[in-house]
Amino acid sequence: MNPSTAPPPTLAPEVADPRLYLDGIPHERFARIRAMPGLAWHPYGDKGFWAVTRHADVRAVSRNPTVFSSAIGHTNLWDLEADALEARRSLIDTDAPDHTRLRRMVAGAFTPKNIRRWEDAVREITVELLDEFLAQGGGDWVEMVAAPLPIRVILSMLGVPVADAGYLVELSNYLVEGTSDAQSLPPDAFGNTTELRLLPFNSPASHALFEYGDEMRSKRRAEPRDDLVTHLVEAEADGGRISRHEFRHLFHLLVFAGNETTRTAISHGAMALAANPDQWQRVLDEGELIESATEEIIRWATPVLHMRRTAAADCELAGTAIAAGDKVVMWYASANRDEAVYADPFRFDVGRAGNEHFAFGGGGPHLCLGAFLARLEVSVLLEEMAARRMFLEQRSQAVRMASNFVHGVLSVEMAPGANS
Amino acid sequence: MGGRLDRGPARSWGCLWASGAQFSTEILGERAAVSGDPVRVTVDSERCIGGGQCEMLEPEVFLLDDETAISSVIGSGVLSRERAEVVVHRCPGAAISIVEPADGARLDG
Repeated sequence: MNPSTAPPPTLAPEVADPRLYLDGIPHERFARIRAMPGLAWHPYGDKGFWAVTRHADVRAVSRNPTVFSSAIGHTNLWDLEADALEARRSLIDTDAPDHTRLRRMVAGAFTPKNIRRWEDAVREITVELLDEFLAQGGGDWVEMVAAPLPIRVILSMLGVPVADAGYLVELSNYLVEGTSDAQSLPPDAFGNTTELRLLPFNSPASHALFEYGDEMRSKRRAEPRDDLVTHLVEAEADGGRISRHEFRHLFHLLVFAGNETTRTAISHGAMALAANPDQWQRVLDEGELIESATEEIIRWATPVLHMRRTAAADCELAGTAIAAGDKVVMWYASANRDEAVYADPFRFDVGRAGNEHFAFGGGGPHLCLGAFLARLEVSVLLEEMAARRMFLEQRSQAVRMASNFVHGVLSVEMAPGANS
Repeated sequence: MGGRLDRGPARSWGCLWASGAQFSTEILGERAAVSGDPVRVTVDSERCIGGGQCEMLEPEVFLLDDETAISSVIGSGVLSRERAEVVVHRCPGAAISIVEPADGARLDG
């Protein structure tokens, strides 16, 4: 490919400004990008990116990790300096073989069979939260249901005291701020002395989460238990199958990704059910729709809006030449509304068949580790709401996060509906 | 880990089928008699990342080891070409392939 003869790329409309997302995903802009020929170029700071927005193109990037690397540059929009990339590297920012080795350290706990063992525990937590929500006559759905459910479950799996759920949700909220322009913590919060650029999400809350993980590590070293932290501690001790750095980052990732994402799915799910009572009635009438309703909620929510890859070699995608070193951004939020794949993509349809959504990634090896756990949590919640014939009424505008990375909802008032 | 009681039948996650085609599957001991053109599938254990898609879609054909998080084929590893292609399509590690021809795979006569 001769750069001097290549036509100038089509420019994408702005979709990276975090403030846009205060009003929800800018779907109309993504639809325009999907309709553009080839890949559109999106300016961003001193180095723009290729905006990959169509379902088929996202899949092509996700499933070609040797060309589209997770280990180079960064998996968020901005580049990191080499030392910061190393200091912040987690499972997310690795390619095979490191990715395969690290993932296998924890993947066993998240297989369909092992996740199913947690069903009773998930149900017990769900029932407690829903009954309290009903007893109070409603309230902030995020605070009362969407946030506590997933954090309590992942902490139970890790073996972390559930009494600390509030603190760890607070840390997660600070981490999410690091994906927007709204950092509210001073650099030395939680006793942090590390340069922020060396911490995940540039946040002192990462220091606090690492410290918390180190304390859990010491406790389980002294007194092993049947939990995920002990499993990781043993993997570190046993011939160094994982390093100290890898332990800290796996713990950080499991706590953060294990709660923030499903919280988002449950928040948007409630809003979708409130806005589409006919669809919820279908689920009540046909119990077997729980499964497809769960997938539709996860597609609808798309808790992680994008992930970035970096081209490891010159290549071509959708007829567009990509140079080695270029940023390539997979917009899951767009792929999940691609009219070429979904009939009526903006309709919330609990019976949608063949729903190959990209809310857990674009089909490649970085598939969400907790996908089956998220499905279990959402489907048990729907089952328990259905058992109570519980409709929802949305009583306030959702307060959304100013983030182009996570589709977060900070709060939304819900009340049991007239049919409850 | 996390000893909790198993309850109820397995969740099938069957709605994740990428294809709406109808199949009839009969289990004969370890061998699955399937409609359509039978093929045999294999798993490359080096590439497997333990994503669980194969076991979710075809629990009679794939078993994901809960300790190692590596999938392997159980029984004959035979299923219809159409279903095999769905599993190949959905495997996040691109670890599953179709072996052709399905030598000895014609089970349904």
